[in-house]
Amino acid sequence: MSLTPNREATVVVALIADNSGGMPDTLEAVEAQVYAPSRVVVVGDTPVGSVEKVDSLNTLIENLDISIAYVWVVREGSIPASDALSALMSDAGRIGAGVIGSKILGTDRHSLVSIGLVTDVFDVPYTGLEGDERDQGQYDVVREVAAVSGVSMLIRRDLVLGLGGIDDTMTPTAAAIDLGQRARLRGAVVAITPASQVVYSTDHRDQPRWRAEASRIRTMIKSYGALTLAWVLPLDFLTGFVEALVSIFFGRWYLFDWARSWFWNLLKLPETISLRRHARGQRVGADSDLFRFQRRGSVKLSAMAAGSMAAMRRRLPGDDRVSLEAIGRDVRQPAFAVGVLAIMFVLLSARNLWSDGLPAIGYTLPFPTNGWDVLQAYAGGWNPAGLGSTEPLRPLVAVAGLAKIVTLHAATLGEYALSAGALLLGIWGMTRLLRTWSVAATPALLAGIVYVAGPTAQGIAGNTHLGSLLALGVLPWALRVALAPMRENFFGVARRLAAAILIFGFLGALSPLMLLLPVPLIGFYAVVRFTDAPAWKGLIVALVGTAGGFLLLSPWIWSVGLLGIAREGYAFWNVSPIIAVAAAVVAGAAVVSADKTAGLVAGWAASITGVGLLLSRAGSFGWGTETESVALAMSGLGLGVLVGVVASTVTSPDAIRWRRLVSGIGSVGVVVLLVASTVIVLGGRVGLPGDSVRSDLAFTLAEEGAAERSRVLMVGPAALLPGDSRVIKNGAYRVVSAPVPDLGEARLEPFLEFDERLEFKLDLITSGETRRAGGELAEFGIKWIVVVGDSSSAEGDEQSVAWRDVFAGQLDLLPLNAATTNAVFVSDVRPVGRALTSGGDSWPRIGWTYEGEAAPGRRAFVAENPNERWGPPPRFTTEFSNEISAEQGLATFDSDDSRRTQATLVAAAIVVLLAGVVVGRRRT
Amino acid sequence: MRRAVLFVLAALAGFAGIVQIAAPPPPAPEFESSHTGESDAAAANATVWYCPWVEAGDVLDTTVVVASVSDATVDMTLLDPLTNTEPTEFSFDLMGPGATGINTGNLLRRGESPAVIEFSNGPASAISMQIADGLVSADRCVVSIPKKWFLTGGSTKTGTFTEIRLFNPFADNAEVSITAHSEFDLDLSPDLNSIDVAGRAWTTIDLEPFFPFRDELVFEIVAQQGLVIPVLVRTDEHGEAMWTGTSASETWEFPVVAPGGLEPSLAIMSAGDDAISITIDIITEMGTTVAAREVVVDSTAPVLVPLGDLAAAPFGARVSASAPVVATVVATVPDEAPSGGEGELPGDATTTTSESTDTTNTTTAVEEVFLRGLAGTVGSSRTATSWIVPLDTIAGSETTLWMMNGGVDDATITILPLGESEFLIEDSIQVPAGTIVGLAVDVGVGTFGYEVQSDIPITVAWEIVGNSGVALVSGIASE
Repeated sequence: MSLTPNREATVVVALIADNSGGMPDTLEAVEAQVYAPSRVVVVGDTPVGSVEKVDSLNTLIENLDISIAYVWVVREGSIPASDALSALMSDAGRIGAGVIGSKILGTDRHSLVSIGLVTDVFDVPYTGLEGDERDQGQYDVVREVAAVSGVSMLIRRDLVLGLGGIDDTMTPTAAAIDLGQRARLRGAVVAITPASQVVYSTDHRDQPRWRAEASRIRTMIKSYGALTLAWVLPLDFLTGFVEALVSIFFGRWYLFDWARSWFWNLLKLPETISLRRHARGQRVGADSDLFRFQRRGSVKLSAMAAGSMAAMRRRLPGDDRVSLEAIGRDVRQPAFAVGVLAIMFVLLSARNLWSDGLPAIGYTLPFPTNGWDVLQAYAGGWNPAGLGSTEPLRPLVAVAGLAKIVTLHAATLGEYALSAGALLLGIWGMTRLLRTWSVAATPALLAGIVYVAGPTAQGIAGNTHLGSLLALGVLPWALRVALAPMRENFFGVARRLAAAILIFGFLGALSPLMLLLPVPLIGFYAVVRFTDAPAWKGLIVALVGTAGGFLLLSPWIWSVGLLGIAREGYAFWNVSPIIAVAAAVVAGAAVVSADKTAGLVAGWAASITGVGLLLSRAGSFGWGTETESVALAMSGLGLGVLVGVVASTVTSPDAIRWRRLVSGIGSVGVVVLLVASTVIVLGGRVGLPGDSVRSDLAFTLAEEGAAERSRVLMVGPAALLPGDSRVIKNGAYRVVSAPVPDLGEARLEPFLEFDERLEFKLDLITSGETRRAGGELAEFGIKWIVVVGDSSSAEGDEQSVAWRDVFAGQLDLLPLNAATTNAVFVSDVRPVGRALTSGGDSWPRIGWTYEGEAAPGRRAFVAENPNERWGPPPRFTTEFSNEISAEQGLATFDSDDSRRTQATLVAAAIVVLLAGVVVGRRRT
Repeated sequence: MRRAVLFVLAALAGFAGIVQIAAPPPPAPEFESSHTGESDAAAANATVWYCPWVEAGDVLDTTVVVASVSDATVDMTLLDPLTNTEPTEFSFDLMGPGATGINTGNLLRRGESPAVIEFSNGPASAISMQIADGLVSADRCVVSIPKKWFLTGGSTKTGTFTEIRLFNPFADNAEVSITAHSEFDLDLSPDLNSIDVAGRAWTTIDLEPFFPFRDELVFEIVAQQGLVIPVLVRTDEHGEAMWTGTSASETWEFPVVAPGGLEPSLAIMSAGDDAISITIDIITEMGTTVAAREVVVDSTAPVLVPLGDLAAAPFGARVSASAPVVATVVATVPDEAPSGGEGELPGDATTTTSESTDTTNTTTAVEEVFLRGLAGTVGSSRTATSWIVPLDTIAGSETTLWMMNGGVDDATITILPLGESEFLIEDSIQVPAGTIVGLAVDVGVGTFGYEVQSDIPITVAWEIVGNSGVALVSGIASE
């Protein structure tokens, strides 16, 4: 032992034993110090021969003799250089540091681990080092830092005693930062000296993540002034939440860490406040002194952004991870340029949705204003379409509600995020799908653009089937999750099946019919590639995904017939001859010019393109418009694959002579399809038509508060009416909310009593048996009648003119001629309201419920289809509508318990499946 | 090989898709509310009737007569000439079967004020009759409102005036074009190409400034926007008559055409683009003269066919055309007949006037024939077995209900008088095939109409003849 000091010994070494291993080496290195410490004490449970041992660092410091000036804290597993302590002592004395740390190197003795820490304002540590940055002396300067690494630091004994010791509830790094900040508040210098070098393995793990987070929050509470805390803590709360959400997409699950860290601090708050008083009681510095050693912005958010970019980059085919060198190489690649162009294409194609939200036309309607209302309605509540019903809403509406909630009910953000996201996801998904067949990034991106924006996607958008349009973003992922290589251990299979069920469920939620698509596509693919085992495995995954996906559509799925949906309307996609020829050229070129495997894939893609085209025009066989949209998605998928194959072949060095010639001809077709795809940029609405319903009904806002109290009867050509419509004597009509119907109103459910009564009244009106349409329609809360289409003259639209003639011949309707493009009539009857009290007051519709002034002793008549669940009681369900108590000024609807339970189970299943995916990812 | 099979499959599917056909266009709506199935714009199964020519002032009164087979609440709305002014509304219960007359002068007296009559139950019907000293005119109200109307029987020859009233009972503004046809064929006036009629208002157009000195005028009125109900008022020195517009039909029946010794004529025009042939059968109390007159009508020029020389009054007429035509019977004082002073009965052949001679300076009493009155009516475009006929009686005038059986079988007709009294007695009469039968209506017993039921299809009309003038009114089918 050479522990005998060769000069006056004033240092005690505290060896922090954390069971990470390497204590003997550490002890040996400490013993070899040229500046011999007076004592060596092990702090912790690890027994080390005859070396003195204490339970905690604070106990050691409190019991030290007054002659001891410094405590050198050294972590188990570290190997200090022989002059490490000497350098620490020397520089501490020279600059008067209260806390001074060593330069920490990796076990290779070249890579840098720590050269002192700065933090952001949230006390998240930041080393400023790149991943494998080598020590070339670039940081070799004694300087002040926010904190030093807890691996090796020298602390002045009197200072640490005055500070109240080390906070041993914290993780080492957080404790080091905490110590540094408290020391700085007392005016002490916290510094790093590169002359003192310690080797430490970075494989040593810190304590659990939540504990580190909790310690960090505690550090802030202890150190910062009240003003700083007032904004730092809420911001940190939100940042953590966002990080928890975003991390899901990278296969990490931080939500519980986030919640647990804040809960821990809540429990520890009284103790923390006490420590805060001590820390700030005799301070000589201010928060600004702490800020001097903090970097701008949020380390977490920066890391998240960098992580996102890196993860995205990893998912693009054939490239290395991001680094400065790799980036430099990437930007010179066509794939990078095309990828940037694809993102710009998406941003431009969706630009108007950012400001205006979704257009209101056909089946594309704005998302409901309150997401919670939607979820309640989906889970067994009241369906607001038409005159209302108890039929479950389509899952797409629930997705819209969730989007509203996630975007904190921002006006248009949810709509923009879903629409633009679907576009981006579709392009990305196509690149991933084509990666299955080794198609490179650039052709795959071109294929993705044709897939999400090409003629078939425009056909879907033209049908205004928003769900199918959004589902385009998910469909390639559904195929990819089935066909991608799979780790064949338990966790690999479980994770894949969980992911498949989730993706298929999401696909079905957006477009129920499209859920039926992957199985036949993959089945057909397996037949084509008959000897390809992954294809058959993919079929099994697709079958499981489809079955599971259907279950995730509960409770809606149990109340509908998919065949009925598939046969509603008349499927006929009006394809341009130029597009048809271009597609045929691409298909022919792909099948003929591609090599063996790609050729088979092209044959498969050409077949599904052809069959999709046939189905999209199969109205004469009884198939409807939703089938048309799904068939267009199928056709578009095939066309996208064909474009990818042709673009890949034409750029392949293996394609020579006639193959190059044929693929060259095919690339002309690709160019035509690409040019056709760019058309959607003009509208800036992801291909959807311009708004019509919102402008048609804008006049209802002229009178403040009137729109929310009444309904609008819209009549005219069915194609111009929002969502589903009904027909009487060949004339189409439908009832909508003002000022604009939301997505929940797009789909009408089967006739109920009130609907039949409305039809009876319309029969009276259209047959001329009454000339007081205003009075007849008042009981339905209909105040306005809008005749859409050209009804200005006999040469106008036949439907519009006929309807206008009907309502022009009524005695209690007034025309609204100002500023309306359509013929509009307003009822001359008073009062008209969707929810009317017996006193004649109407209640406005707020969200999806009716709220108004309480009317004690009165009744309220809710103009919805009669149902005994309407309340509050005493209820009296009339033959045609609902009569309830007006005592509370609120109309409520008790949800269906069975459906609510189903919806809750679905939500739980989604969480479990997500967890399965995350856990499976970690295990595999 | 697999590639080839797949490519062929794709090509076949694509070809099959390309040859698919688009959806047929949606069928046109079949609404009956505005485009009437009745060419004569009247059927008793509707609930709302529009009476454009209602006026109550210091000279003229209007009686609106309503009749209903069932108990009904009748709402009468008299519009105000000032826009944005609440109309005058009057509601009463009518026990069915029954009828009553409402003198609008008792409700308000502000001149012109078209009325809207709403029945809560039916079948029901309504007419309006204008009465003044020395004047009576009447016609059915209108129940169905086509976009295109024809008004026949107008004239602006010397001493004759024609007005059109365009009544828009609805709130929506109407834009109307009027095209005139005269003996000069198509008679254009740019000022009448676009006439705005505000909602719940009316406008009256004197046509003499636009078409002076026309013997025959037929008007084609098209509502470019909104709806209007047109009515034609013809006036001469002998009286006033009014009738509503109609659509076109291939057949028209007029159970009575020659009231009070007036000279009847048939104003007729083809509604199409081709010249057509028209056959007129004359039906008297004795029998039918088939094809009593046959004429060829040009597509754009109206024709006035005299009927007075075909039979002695009373008689009816049946018009059959090879294509749809519009037709109105107009009965005027014959040109050769001396016109009479006030208070003289039509057909009165014993009126005395004085004539002076220069040579003797003596006054000699000379007996001359003076006639007064002007009548006109649209016909019935179809026969029916059930009719509701609101009518009115005036002291000093004779009201006669006429039934015409143009068929080949005798008709057994049940006639139920309608009034405010419950004690009116049902009667039954026989109308031989091919004849007309008139039923004089008792004055002063509270009869305001008839419900006429027949075992075979017939047509019904009524006339009023007296010292106030003459009016012809078609009946209203209720089936």
